[in-house]
Amino acid sequence: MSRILVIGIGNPLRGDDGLGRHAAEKLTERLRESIFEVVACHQLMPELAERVAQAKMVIFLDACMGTKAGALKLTRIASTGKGQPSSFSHELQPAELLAIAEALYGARPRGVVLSMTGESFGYSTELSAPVQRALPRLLRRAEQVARGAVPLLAESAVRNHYRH
Amino acid sequence: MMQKILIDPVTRLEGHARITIHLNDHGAVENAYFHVTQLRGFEKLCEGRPFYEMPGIMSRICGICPVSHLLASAKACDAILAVHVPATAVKLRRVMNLAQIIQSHALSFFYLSAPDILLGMDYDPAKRNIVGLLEANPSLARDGIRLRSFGQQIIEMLGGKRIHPGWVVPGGVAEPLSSEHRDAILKMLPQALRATQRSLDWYKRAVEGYREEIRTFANFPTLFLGLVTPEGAHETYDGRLRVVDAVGAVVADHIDPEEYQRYIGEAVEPWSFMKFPYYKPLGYTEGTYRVGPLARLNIVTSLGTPRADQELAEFRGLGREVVLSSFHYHQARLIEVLSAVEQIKRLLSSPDILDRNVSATAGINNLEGIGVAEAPRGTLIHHYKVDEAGIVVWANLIIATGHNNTAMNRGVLQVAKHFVDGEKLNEGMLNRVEAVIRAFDPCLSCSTHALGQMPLRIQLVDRGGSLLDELRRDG
Repeated sequence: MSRILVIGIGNPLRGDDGLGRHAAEKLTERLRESIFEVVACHQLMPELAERVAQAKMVIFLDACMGTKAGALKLTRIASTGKGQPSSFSHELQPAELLAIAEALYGARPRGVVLSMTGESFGYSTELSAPVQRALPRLLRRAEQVARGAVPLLAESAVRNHYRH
Repeated sequence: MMQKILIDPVTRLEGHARITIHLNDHGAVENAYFHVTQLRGFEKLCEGRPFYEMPGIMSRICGICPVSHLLASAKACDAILAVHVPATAVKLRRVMNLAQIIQSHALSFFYLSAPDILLGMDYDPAKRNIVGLLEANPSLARDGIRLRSFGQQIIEMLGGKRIHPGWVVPGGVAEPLSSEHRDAILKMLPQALRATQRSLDWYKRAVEGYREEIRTFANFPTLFLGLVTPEGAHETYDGRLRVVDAVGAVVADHIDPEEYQRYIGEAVEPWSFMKFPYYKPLGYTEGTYRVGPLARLNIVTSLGTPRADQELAEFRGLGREVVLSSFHYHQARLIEVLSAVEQIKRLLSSPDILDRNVSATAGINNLEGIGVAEAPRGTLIHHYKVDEAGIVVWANLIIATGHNNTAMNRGVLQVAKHFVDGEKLNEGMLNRVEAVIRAFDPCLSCSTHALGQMPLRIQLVDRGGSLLDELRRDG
């Protein structure tokens, strides 16, 4: 069971939209301990709820729109709670995924969204130059947040799952 | 005074479709049309490309059933190569197709249609969705999520990713199955089996409340078409085509899929971009047929696995010789999930399933190739012609949703005639007109992005264009 889940979101065929996936693939190499699980996906789906429910913390990596390409933003999020209407069928917002995990499995992991402003979302498998330059900063910050969350885990859990 | 009701767009389907319902001078429904207003054009855009690119390109047609297109396309390429696909590769391709059927059927049943069945056709549309489902029956929602995830995980283990895996290649598959992945899949099977059985049991109780819908949801005689084994059992990957009529008589059997053009014609209508395939010997529209889960259960002698065959026997009791109501697509879908789980277990228990010989190579030996497989929604046909350099010069695709096009249109008319009151529109009426299409689970729904919340407008207008009534749902 992973305790800190990192989910990179994006479409790798749409330029900077694929940032979350690019980042997730690189983080897989940096977060190798078994308490970490790194997932790359096009979009959030309810099928992720079970994994979310098993985590103490979920870090969502995504691109966002904005004026300054490469700008990094960390936002703490909470479950939208039970009973909140959703327009979902193929895509969820991070808070909605947390809500499903709560409603179905009674789990309330902490959630953060680490987003970076993209520049180009056209048809391309490449990240734009400013986002490419800023990617190492995103990776460092994501790793810092993930490792910073380790104390959230109970000592016993750490003993069982944390391997160096 | 002729009036017309327009439903545009149709929700929980791919966005580019609309329904028009025509009323006569007395306000009664006279005709109805399900218009597919988008044009994909894959048949044209692949012209000029090398044939070996086809599986990768064609799988992009759909984000829900890419595996089906991958398989049918690879099979058409196998035919161009005239290659003998190794037995283990055939088994692995079958496993992936069954996993695809599981995840796609789970999406259709649990995410798109179960909210209607659990909460009711007249329930508040703002809550008639997956969120409403998980509030009202979290156990059912968990089972749905688990089954979809189960299918996706198998696809990911085999193909490296859940959507658009490129693992099926002309001549076989790219990589053999590892013992770790086989064991991981086998470990998940019991839970998937239990989830499916629980869902079936729930559905069979819940459906008792939908007798009126069962009577009126595309409930009419048609032919049924699909692949069967040489013995007439359920087949999703290979086999021969069988056509059964509305009283269960086999009207054509052992049809080599390569001869599909002798049996299947394709009509066009000026009001839709989707073609209208029909059974050629009977002509258009007398030769209307249905494909997909309902058809597959109607044409087979057996599903080939014990639990599924028990369910099939019970299912047969829903009709006389065959089951005609399209409402029963839902139950057929769940039975196919059960069958798929059982079949995967059997395939993975084969002694040669870990064999490393999983692909064969050859040059271009034929200038034409036809690949047929059963997609979740029905029989899928890919047909390519290439030049001597292997460049595609012509392609034809018949996709499951297309086969069902005429039946879906007739279904919309039947539901509209029964439920639509031309004088006053309401949400329940609207939802039933849409729900009959959802029962078929058309491939249009692959690109659905909203559930119960898409912007929707129905207008009742008179011949002079005056608005008589309007129902609006904002996104």
